[in-house]
Amino acid sequence: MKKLIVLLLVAGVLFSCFAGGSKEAAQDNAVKAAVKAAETMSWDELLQKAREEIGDNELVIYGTTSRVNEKSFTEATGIKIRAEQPDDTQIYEKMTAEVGNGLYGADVFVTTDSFNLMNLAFANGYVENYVPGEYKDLIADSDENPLVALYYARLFIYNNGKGSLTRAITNVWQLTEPEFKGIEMKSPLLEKCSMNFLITLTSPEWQAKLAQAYKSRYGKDWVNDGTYPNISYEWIHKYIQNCTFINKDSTIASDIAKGSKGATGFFVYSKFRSEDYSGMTVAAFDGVEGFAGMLYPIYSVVASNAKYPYAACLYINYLLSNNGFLKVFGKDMGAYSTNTSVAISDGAKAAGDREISFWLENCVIEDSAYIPTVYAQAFTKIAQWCAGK
Amino acid sequence: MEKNKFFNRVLAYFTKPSNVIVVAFLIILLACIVYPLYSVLSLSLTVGQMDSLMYNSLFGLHLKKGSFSLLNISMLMFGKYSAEYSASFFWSPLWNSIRMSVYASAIAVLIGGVVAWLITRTDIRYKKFISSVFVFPYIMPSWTLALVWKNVFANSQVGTGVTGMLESLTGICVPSWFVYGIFPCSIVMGIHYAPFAYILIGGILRNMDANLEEAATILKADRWRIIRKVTLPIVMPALISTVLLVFSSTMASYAVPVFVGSPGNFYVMSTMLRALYSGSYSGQSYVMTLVLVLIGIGMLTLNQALIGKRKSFTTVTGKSGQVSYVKLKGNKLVSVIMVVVLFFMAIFPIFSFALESLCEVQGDYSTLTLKFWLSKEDIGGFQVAVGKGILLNSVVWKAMLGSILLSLVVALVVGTSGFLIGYGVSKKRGSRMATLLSNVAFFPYLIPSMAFGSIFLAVSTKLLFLRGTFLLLVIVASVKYLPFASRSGTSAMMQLSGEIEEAAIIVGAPWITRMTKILFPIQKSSFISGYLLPFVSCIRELSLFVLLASSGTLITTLLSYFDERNVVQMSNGINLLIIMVVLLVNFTTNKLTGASIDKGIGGN
Amino acid sequence: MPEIVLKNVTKKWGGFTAVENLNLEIEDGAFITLLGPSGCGKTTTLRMIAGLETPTSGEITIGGTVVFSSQKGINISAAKRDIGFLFQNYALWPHMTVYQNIAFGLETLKWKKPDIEKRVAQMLETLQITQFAQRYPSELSGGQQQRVAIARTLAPSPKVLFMDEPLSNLDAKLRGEMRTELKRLHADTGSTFVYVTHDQLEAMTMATKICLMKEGVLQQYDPPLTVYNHPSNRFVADFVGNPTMNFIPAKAVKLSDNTARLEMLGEKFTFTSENSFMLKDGDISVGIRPEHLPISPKGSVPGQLTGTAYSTLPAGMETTVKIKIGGTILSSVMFGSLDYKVDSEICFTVQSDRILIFDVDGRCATSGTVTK
Ligand SMILES: Nc1ncnc2c1ncn2[C@@H]1O[C@H](COP(=O)(O)OP(=O)(O)O)[C@@H](O)[C@H]1O
Ligand SMILES: [Mg+2]
Repeated sequence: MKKLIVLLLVAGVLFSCFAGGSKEAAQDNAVKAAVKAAETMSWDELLQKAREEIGDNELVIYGTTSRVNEKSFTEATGIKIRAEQPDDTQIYEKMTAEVGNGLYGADVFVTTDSFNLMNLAFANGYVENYVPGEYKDLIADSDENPLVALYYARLFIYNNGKGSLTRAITNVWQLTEPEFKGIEMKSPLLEKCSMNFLITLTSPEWQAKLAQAYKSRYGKDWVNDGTYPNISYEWIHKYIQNCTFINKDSTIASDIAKGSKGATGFFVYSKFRSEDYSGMTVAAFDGVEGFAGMLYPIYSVVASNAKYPYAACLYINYLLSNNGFLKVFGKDMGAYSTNTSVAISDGAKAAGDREISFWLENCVIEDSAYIPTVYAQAFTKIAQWCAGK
Repeated sequence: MEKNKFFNRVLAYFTKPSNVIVVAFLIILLACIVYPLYSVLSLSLTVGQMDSLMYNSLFGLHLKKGSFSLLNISMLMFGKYSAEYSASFFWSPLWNSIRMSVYASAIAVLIGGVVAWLITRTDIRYKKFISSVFVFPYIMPSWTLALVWKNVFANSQVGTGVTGMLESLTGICVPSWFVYGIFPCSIVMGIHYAPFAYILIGGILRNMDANLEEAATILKADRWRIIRKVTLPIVMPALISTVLLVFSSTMASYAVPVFVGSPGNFYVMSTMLRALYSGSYSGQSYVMTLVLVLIGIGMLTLNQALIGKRKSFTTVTGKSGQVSYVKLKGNKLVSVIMVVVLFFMAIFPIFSFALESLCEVQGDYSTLTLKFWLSKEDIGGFQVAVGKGILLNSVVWKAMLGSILLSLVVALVVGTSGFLIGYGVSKKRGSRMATLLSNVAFFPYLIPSMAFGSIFLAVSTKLLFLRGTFLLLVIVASVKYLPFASRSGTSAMMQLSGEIEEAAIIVGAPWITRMTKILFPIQKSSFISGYLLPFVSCIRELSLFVLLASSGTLITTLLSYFDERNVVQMSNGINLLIIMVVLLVNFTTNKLTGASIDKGIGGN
Repeated sequence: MPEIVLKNVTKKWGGFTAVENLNLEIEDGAFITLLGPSGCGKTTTLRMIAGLETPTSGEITIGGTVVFSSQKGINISAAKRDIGFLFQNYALWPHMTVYQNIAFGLETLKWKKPDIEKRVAQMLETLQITQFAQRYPSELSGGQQQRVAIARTLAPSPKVLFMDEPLSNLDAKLRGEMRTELKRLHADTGSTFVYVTHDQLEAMTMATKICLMKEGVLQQYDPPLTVYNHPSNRFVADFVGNPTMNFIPAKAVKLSDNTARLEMLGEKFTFTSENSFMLKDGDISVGIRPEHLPISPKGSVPGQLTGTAYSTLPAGMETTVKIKIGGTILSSVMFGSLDYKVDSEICFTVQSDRILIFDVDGRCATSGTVTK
């Protein structure tokens, strides 16, 4: 056995001699130029250019979200697409392996997690940011760099026993109290958006909001007794202690819907639709002091070695258009375009959803500027809490 | 002169097929696993891009991406960040993993071994049924068993209070530890791998000279003593192989612990590995992988220490057709209990998949419909495009055929390799080369699928001709599943005495003839299971391929697609389809060759 | 008293009958051999008595206890039949040393450790395998394994000992030695031995009684010499004896109650028996043991027949001479070393009062003398 290990090590070292040294990302100026050019083009111009470019070939999209609906884009443009759905970790891994080695894999990435997007994808030049010129004014500046195509809402939702319970979550600190033990959510260890949500909470802005909510709940100011670096960490720690980690949003949704009265979960609002939601209440509509959930951004960027950069831009353009949003994402509640001229669908409205403005006010929004400043410390501390539960 | 002598010696060495086989496989395998192992080692000793960001910020350093560092190890294992961190991410998951794997192996060996004994040695009834149905839990992806567990035992006292089947039928509420945590994880993994134990142990029992047990009977040993003193020691190699495989598989298993473990705050190495991997500490995740590999090496060494060299020459001279079955007391009761247990372990999950795939509204059994199977139109009402009913859905069929093709090719490669490795190792038994080969062949098993897939993704960016090809999938899966076949091949070959082949050499039969006409047929059932097991594992594998195959090429990617998107009718239906395909392949093999996954033990 | 009685024991596998309606009584302390060609059902019979195989029908009694009865539904397990069994392939446990193999049965009987050690040492001594005590079976030669198997079987001193072709894997010399040892063991232990063999010499030399079987049917059950001298049929006569009996086709015409005229080898003979016998006129065969065809110098004795030397097989102590006469080749055994040139003339006589007459069906009609 010892010999075997030695042998493997020796062989490994030998191997390293020729395996080492990966190529730096190929800076494809053609793509850069195309993206730049596309920014000023109108939909029709872009469409024409894209068609010329791609012909009968397929546009390849790696997307974390399943809504990358093939038909509607193809119907609208005549361009064929192939969509793959790795999770966000896998997207970044494939991106590194492919773009990082100058190999073509995909044209468009539709993904989450600002931290990796900024520090891995953009930092290494794996992707190009594209903002459709025609929507530039309609998209908030903070959503343009990198471009957020839309937001998803993840909310506190509870089982109301078919209307027999108004649990009245009026303050976010309630969620750290024993009464709410067993809130189901996806583990921040395994899902980036949930982690980023908690990290965002540690910002001064959210510290202040949490302090205010604390005061109104407990009638006194929060005092730092040294247990936690700041108030946000106390909330996070106690909240995590109260949570039960479930691996899938749809499982959480069904657990809450089929569970007993008062069962509470933190899950993607769109899953609401899959269940019998007459028995569930979205806490946000009661008006929660602090916050009622989170909004997480879905980014959409062009691969820096895209084969069909114009078509890629066209696809992103489509996602931000009214038609594209409604067809691809907007059928159900819980998804909100960053294009302020795009309203939620009638179906979503009928089911009780509100416009993005409401959610922006009531939710924590992943803060791609703040997160990197505290990432290592905050991530590690929170991860340790989650793992050590 | 000297040169010539050396040359002649080399030539003489390679005229023996067993030498060629051992050397060739050693070279191929070393090539296929040295790089992965080297990657794991080097990645655990260097900092990745994200790692460097984290470390620099945490510890005020200026590490560059790719630079050598022991930080991965010291932070993960030795409290560099905090003792609590190391405890939560490493030591406690390590302890949990070991416990879970020990329990799961014990359960698998116990259930599988007892059933194997009942089938091969007693006059229990319904043998054919028990034998063929018992392998179902292995065919199903393990997480589906976890799902069934949850659906049965969830109750109003646990979690959000979803009422499970047991409660709604009997009103019994099992405690929380019964639903979530180490208990269900161990049981589910144990049940999932019990068929494995059954196949390996049953194979030995069936081939074992019954005289050995009869000799003890005549010396007035009671049944228990015979089992303890004669049967068990003789099946010990198979038993240890089983433990080794189940232990390693359970160590690396992710889906079940995350499904019924995490909600009970039960974390194991694989959950933490994935957390670290996706959570900006990929270097630490490779340390974790390395630890898994080292544990595996430890198990292998232990294996060798346990089966002493002298005793391991357990050549069974021939088969004794004269097995006299033990008369079971309360045969009827035992048989009925077996059938009932099997119903819950094997039939019930399948039945529930079928039922779920027939519900218009998920879980509402009053809304039965065939549309998820037969709809000619695209099925609406979901957040994602579903397409036509499963049987008419070209996407499903394409993926299914892709999976079948891949699994068939892999099974052929792996099964044949296992047979040949078994031959080489048994011919050269005791030699250092043979030991090395049989150990090396086991190595891929110790690397978790996820890490394995990710390493081969990196390989494919270097060896471009492999990238995105079917061949790459075949290679990855073949290497990964070789341990099954090489274990069963070796143990089957070890049981054949050398004279059997020698007799054929004497009459001048060429090597190929000896293999195909003599050795293979004698241990046919073992070898065929060396083909079937990789087939089964391959067709239901997901994490190994997820980075390497584009979606829609394999049925499991499609299954997980529907599952993630909560289109449970489709995912359950596809699950059922996979099981049916495996059963069909098993059935066909059985009809054609007389062998089957369960080897038809006792059935005839 | 372990007297073993088999009544109408039959064993069938599907449509195939391995043992048919076997009736057998084995006295206490006897040394019985089950003899017959391979596949005749010997092992099956032995295993049925031992309790390792369940008969299809019949009844088996050991020492007055019914251990199996298909009618009464009794089937006592092998462990409770108080027997020893020596397997054809030894069935030594590969994971136990020689010592452990032998000690196993004693441990099962809950012997005290010192007693076990003593007994095992004694067995090792008796079978001359003391130096192998710590080896594993795979590290022993066939003969050594054999002796370990015997030691293991004998260690608990079983009252009845079954052996299934225990010597078949040994070389001739060792086999000879082991025969002596086994016979000695039988005398020493006073146990009942039931011994399966296909080697008639083994059966002849060791047994107190031979049970000869053919295709599952009992042919004859008698002491060895009876079987040798008064075989019940042609099959038995042919099976027992080496070189085998000469069977000479003949035509018979009954002359009186106890005489007949025989026409064989181109000559006419008169056959006389001490008892009256029944025989249909016509084709029969005459069985003559090789030792009953002594060769003599031409003209030295009356009634000589003349043939030619076909071949001569001297074995040192005795010589088998094959004599060609007419179209028939006869074997003759003579004491001492002889040599005849091929095709040289040989004169011999038929000299015995144990010439056998077999009728067309192969049944032995009678025995007696022939004169020319
Ligand atoms: N388990 C079995 N199933 C079917 N036939 C058998 C079985 N065991 C033995 N036989 C048949 O029964 C006959 C007697 O076998 P056996 O007693 O072993 O012969 P032997 O006299 O050589 O020991 C043989 O023709 C053999 O083929
Ligand atoms: Mg026999």
